[in-house]
Amino acid sequence: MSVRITKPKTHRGKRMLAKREPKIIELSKKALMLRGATASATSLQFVKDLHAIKRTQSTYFGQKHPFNPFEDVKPIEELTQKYDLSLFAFCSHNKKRANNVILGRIFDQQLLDMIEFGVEQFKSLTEIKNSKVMEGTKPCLIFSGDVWHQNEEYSKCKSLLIDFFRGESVEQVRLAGFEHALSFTAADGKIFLRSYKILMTKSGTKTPHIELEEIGPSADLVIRRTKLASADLFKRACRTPSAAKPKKVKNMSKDVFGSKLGRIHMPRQDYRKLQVKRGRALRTEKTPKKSKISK
Amino acid sequence: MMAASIVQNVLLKAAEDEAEKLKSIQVDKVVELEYDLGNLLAYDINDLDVNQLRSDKEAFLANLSRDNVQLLINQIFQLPTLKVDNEVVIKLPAGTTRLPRAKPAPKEKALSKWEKYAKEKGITQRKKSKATWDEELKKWVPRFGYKKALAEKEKNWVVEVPGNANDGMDPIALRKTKKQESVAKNELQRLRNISARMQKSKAKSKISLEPTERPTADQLNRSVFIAHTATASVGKFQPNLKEQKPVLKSGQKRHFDPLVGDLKKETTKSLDILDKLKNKKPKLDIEKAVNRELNQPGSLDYKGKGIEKKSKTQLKKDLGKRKHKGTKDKKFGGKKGGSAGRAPAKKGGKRTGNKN
Repeated sequence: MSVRITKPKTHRGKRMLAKREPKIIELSKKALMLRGATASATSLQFVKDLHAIKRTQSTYFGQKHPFNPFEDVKPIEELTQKYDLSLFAFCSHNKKRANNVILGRIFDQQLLDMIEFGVEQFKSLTEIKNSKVMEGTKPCLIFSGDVWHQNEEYSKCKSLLIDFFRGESVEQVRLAGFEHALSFTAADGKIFLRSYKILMTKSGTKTPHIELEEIGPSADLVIRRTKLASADLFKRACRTPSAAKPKKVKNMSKDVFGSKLGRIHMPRQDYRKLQVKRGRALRTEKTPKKSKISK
Repeated sequence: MMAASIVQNVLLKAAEDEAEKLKSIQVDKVVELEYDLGNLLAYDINDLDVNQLRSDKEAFLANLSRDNVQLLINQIFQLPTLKVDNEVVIKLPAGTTRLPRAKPAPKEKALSKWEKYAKEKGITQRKKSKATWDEELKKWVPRFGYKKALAEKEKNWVVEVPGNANDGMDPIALRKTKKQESVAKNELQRLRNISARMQKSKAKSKISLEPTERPTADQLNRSVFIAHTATASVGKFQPNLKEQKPVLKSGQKRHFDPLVGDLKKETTKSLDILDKLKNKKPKLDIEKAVNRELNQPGSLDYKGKGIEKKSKTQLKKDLGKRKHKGTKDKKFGGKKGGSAGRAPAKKGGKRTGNKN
């Protein structure tokens, strides 16, 4: 990364540069939604629906971009660099790859990985007519099927999907704030994406009983081509700075009553230099000495 | 007695109705789900009934999702709660899934010259007020900005020139040049700090062995290390210099697959090796070639070494035109190889031989 030589001329410019600087704990990733030059109605609507889900955390460019990410990622890298984004979705369509959507991630202004999906049996948000969820809600993500662990490609795909859909990282959520659920079921060579609204009803206990209502989008995804990061690049990307790791508290234990205990480590005493004589103030006098102050 | 039993029945029925209304939150699964509550994630590794999936897809998926979401919510509601603004709120733990960052972690910035000095002396920054009271003008003058400039002008509208000064001296122009000089000095120092920072980072990133006028400490360390290990026994029996620090293993760690593991992977690997051995044509690794070209442009250019495949007629032509003038020409290649290393043949004329 080059060091900036010219100082920003305005305070606003300075703040914008500070915002784009790498931080110890990162803000949530923003996505770039692109319309390809050859996008079909289905794939385009899929990308638009993704944008609707991620609303404030994504930007959608509706012009036709004649890109081919698997041949040349550079134009996408440049766009993400320009707008400071780290995820992207690109839709296209041709005879060989119908209803194609590419989801990808960026690390250090370069492509980290990208996976191409074929969208089948797509039902858009607009097709399913009911009240939806407020935008920006953090969704509950469910991954079903043991393929997610077993297959290398699927596990990278899972990581990509989590990154894409997990929303802002928050510390506190209202009890009633769990409204959206996204379920990814991997079976039969496909990934079934379903999106539901969570309805909580009374159960006898503190925890509510859950009912789901499908709100869309719903799609059957087929993994086509992938361009995954090499092991060491991925490792480098996952590296967290030591400042972000939680500090280990040493030398603290609790006893049965819950009181905090710690150990004091004393150095070895030199018994030749033990202080045996007590100072005047600490000596207990048998007969009180006459004070020097005369009457 | 009758009344009591009727009452009992009614109460029982009421209790049953209540129980029906309140549905259960229990879900039975063969294998427990794995949770990452910080990211509101749940992984279900149970086997899926593919037949059921194929027969009634939406219902199956809806049921599966409902069960899994129920289990996730059960886990979430076990977390500690607090009250914020009259709302009960659940405190989420940190996420456990390791996800890649968008940008590499920020490196510690090297301290500038002033920062180092301030740290040494214990000088700390003190917050300054926006305006100061000016006694002369009897008003609050901002510390910077156009209002300050105006106030300065007001105060110093006249400059006293000492008696012994030159006639041509313009004190106001002098003031202006002084200001310009101080601004230039500040700019110079800022650029110097930046270049010092860049030097350090450059030294850390690519420590080359090319001779430089002023090698940095890192470069010298690297040179010492390379000299140390440049012996037949790779520096093992080489005594260290007086203050030489032992260098830890650097470079890429070699990765070996486990001996016993994926049988499929092993068979595909072995078959791949056999394929490569059998192949008569070399396999072209496009990525490698592109990277090579990017990093060392021109290294892959055909330099005339080796055999260039030509048609038989072309070969005959070349053979006929070439004069064997003390060259080590074999049938096709030569010192500079075929016709690639030479100037293109003139049309219609005899080719003069290799004059070297």
